[in-house]
Amino acid sequence: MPTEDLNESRNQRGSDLDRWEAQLRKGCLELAVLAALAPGRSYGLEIIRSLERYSDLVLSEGTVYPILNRLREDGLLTSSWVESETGHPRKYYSLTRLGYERATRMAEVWMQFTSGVSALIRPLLPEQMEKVR
Amino acid sequence: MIMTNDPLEIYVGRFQASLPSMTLAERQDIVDEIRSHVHDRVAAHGWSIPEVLERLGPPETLAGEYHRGNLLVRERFSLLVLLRIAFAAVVTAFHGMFLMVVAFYGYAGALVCFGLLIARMLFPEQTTLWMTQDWDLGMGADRPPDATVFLANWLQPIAFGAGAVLFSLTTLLLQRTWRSMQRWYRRATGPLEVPTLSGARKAVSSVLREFRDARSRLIRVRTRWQNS
Repeated sequence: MPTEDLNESRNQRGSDLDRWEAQLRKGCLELAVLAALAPGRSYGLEIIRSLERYSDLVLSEGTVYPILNRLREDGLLTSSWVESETGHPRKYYSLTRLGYERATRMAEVWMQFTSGVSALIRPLLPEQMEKVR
Repeated sequence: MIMTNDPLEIYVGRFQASLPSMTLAERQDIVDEIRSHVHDRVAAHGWSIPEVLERLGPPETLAGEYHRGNLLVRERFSLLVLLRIAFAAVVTAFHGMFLMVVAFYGYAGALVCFGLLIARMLFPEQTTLWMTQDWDLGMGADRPPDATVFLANWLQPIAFGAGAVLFSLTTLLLQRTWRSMQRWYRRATGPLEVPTLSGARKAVSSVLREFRDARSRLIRVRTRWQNS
């Protein structure tokens, strides 16, 4: 295979992997947002900060606000505007009872799912590959 | 129209224009939250407004996320949704047919007028318009003896004017029809508002939410007034 074709093929695989990773992050963002609100009420930037602290889920800050809006419409969150010390109002979100139940259930499903997939992919990890060699 | 160079206002303007159909209060709430985020980022990290806006992503993409969110949550398959989509498809098809007919006849007419204008310059004799006493119309150098020439030197400016008017009117009509088609499409794919029990419950909770928001705004205004 010519070098140019090989590079193009590598780039294609790279972008496929990026797309898959982006979809994976987006998929668990809803759970992460609910989890970030589990300790108590919080506003947009604070939620983004806690997501950034514990994970690298936030690719674009803009993705968080539509999710918060949707979760609120679903009755999983409530929101209220509160005047901040910086002089401008902030929209605070908190989990409703339904939201808390949903988050707990999602966390259980997540744990089951990830433990199953983790066991399945273990042979693919570098240290396991070394043992095989 | 108010013109501004403020990057935040420009961003908010584009964002608002791309948001899906929703109540004014919902729209204002979303826009206020984005403004609040920008002010928070600037205050907390010392970033410039353009930097914060860049991290938020393009306004149209951000607004699109709200649209997709609405579609995923609100639209569920039902006979009514199916009927709406079918109706929207029929209306879109009519719009499409109208667009095609208008574009064809409008631009073809304009082309004929401009063609006549050029032909008149190149072949003045062959493009002379005449009319007989029996009201028969014709064009060309070979005309009956009783025919009188009309629009002699006026043909060129009239052909140019008619061509320009036809071209402009057709373009305007196409633009309007296109916008109307998009409006119909947005209505068909936008949030469904039907008088169901869950809808009524949602409406009540929405009214309550708006009432709470209005009250908290009132409190904010009062606090500001007291502080000042």
